[in-house]
Amino acid sequence: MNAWAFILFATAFSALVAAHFAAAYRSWRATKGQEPSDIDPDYVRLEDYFARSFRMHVSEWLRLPPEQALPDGTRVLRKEGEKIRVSAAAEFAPYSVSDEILEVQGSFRAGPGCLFRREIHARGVARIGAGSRLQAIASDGDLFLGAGTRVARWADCSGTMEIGPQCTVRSRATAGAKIRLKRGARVASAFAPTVLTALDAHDPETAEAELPQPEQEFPVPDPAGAGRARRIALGLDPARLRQLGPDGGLYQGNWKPAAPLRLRVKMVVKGDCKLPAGSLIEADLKADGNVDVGAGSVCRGNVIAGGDIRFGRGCRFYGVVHAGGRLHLDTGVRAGRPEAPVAAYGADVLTVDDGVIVHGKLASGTFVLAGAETKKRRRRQG
Amino acid sequence: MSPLIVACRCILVLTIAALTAYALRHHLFVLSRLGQRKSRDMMELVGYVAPSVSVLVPMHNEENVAADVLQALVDCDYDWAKLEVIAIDDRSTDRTGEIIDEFAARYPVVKAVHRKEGQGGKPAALEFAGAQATGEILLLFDADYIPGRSMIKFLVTPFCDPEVGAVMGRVVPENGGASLLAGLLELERGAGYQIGQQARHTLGLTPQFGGTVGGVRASVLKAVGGWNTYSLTEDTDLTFRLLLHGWKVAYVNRAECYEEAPETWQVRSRQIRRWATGHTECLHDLWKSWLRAKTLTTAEKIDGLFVLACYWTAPILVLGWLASLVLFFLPQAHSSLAFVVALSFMGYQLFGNQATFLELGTAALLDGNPRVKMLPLSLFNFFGSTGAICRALLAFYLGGLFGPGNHHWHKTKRYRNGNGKNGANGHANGNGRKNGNATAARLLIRAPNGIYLCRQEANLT
Repeated sequence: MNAWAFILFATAFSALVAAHFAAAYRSWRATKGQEPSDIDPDYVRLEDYFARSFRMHVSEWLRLPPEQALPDGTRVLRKEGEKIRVSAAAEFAPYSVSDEILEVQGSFRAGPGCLFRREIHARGVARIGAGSRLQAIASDGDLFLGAGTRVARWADCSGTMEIGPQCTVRSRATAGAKIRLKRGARVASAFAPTVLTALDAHDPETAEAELPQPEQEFPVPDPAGAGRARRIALGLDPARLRQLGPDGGLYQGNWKPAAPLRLRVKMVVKGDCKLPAGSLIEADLKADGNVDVGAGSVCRGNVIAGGDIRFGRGCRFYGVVHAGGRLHLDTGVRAGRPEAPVAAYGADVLTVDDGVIVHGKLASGTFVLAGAETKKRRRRQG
Repeated sequence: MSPLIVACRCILVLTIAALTAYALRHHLFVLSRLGQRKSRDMMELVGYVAPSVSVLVPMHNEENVAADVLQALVDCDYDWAKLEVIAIDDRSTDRTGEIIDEFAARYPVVKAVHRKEGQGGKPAALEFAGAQATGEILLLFDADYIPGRSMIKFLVTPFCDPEVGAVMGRVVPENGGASLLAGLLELERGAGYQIGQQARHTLGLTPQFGGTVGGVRASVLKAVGGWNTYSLTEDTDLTFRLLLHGWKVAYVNRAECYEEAPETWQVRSRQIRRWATGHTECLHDLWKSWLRAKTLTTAEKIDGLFVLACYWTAPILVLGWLASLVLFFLPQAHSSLAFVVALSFMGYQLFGNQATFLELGTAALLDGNPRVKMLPLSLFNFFGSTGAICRALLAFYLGGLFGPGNHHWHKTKRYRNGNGKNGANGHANGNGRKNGNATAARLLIRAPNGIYLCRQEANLT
């Protein structure tokens, strides 16, 4: 390389480096004094956040002067390109299409196959016909979503919400009183004081029932020094069990007790855990693998699993449930109490059989599906 | 071949190996973060886990910020029946004691604790106040932090997992616009939490409990021997002791809390020297038991060593630079091996440095931080930090920067002016809260699809 070539190269290289820093410096000057990563200190997590936000804005929009007032009392408002139609009550014929935000100050009824591309707020009862498609809906009364209805975002009501068969709510479904999930209904999450699937006439709505009384206990009461043998009887290899803190144990491997047991300490299982029917779990339970809770068992603590969780027929739980995989609630499962709601979450699909009542929330990383296993089982049996 | 050349080559090989290992780790973290399934976190359970909580706020001469943090805590939406806020005045000489007494008189949920004697420093204050705490969970906030209203709910949720011993939230500088350094630290903190901590949590490695915006189970803290009052980084020390005893540390990215980042290089230098010294102390104390521990997986052990030894990278890098200079100028060093080593070093410059930039840039993009274009200026922060760390480790190995038995408060300078204004750049309303009287409407951001979201909910969808 001769001298000129070197000088040229060095100059170009220096210019490139300088341009790099000059651009960065300009960026610094441009953002000086700014706080772009603004956290909302007043943020409070609410299940029906979207619906509240929408209602709040609707109430602001209603104060705007109308752009158009029709003889039937309907008003049309405009806000930054949004068109809001305000009417006393609304009834849409089958297969109607609407591109406006609808504020209905009475009851709302849509026939089958309707398409609503924007949000709806109804102050009375809202009934959506089968096969309709909605953006989002908030009702101050009850809300009935017909079979096969699809809601692109959230659905909220102050009373009871009925989500029809094969209906889909792609975001949150929230209700002030009850959510009834019909067979085949899908939601991202369902939150209400009571969330239930199809109940038989004899299914009680309360969660309370007699507690199981298993004979075996863990930790083992050990007055005669027979603890080791009793632990082995509980399916625990003593060599794999160790203390985790003052009130817990950690077990390396799968734990599958042969007989129902009463668990009174927190337990972490580094494998799968299968509890026999009629067990009583009084503290938190975690398994890195899957958890299978036998029929009629009661969990008073939290149940956490890295894999799937399955609650057998008639189980009850009163703590939170978090599955890293699928979560299944079998027929007759009861969860939480009206005064102490619970949340059950499956990162994968959460399936809920018929006859399940949950006080609180069902949520999934994919979707909550009602009655799927029942249908599959019936098909198998048929 | 002269011994000098052999030594330089060995140093260069060691440097390349160490830095390549860290670079690979950073690449892995970025890939993990980008490919992460949001659904695996516990955020859907927020509000359904409600243990009794004691919030500890240790303070030493914090009159400028004490009212802000206490007001924010009493405004939290956690059930007061299960909450106590313990404000600890550790022999302050300013109005801190009066301020916390005023709060205790006004709010039954606040308890004022005054320390007048005994060993000084934050861990000693925490140990003292922890003995009086009644909650199952101890949450910690430094006095310059401003927890949001749902912060406590966010932080206690992971404790529903019986294996979780401690939880860490995310720290976000509130004063990134105040100086160039603060802006660069905003980028650095973003990378550390949004990518580093989150990836370590997702991959089942060793997320770190940072001693503030976090919590620990009271029973577990007691079982592992309480706070190490002799450590400069008692949080790191506790993290590793928890992990050694079989507990996990959970990280909650959504539990975001404002802090004040250093605005001047002197303050930053002192902060990072303290961290470097404390980490290295922990490394010396714990590495043997860490490697022997049966409670840890191999991946946890490797990541833990990376964390503990992270401040060693600075002197190793400086030695590598010196060695390469020597090899460059010694004519007899130009052998084929030297060429390979030099080539590797250049390769590292391309690949290794990319790791840091990738992490900083990805975090800024995930956060929507426009300061991402400032990335080249991070070089100044890098050189400043490298110098400070080298100085700290030199002093540590030559007899201790902070001196043995020097147990007092090592605080980062506060920039708020004590007029009740939370936040360095406006939003101040004088009522002790940043945006305190903002209406819900201001907090809602208009998304392109026509609905209004606030930042945290926007992250959800």
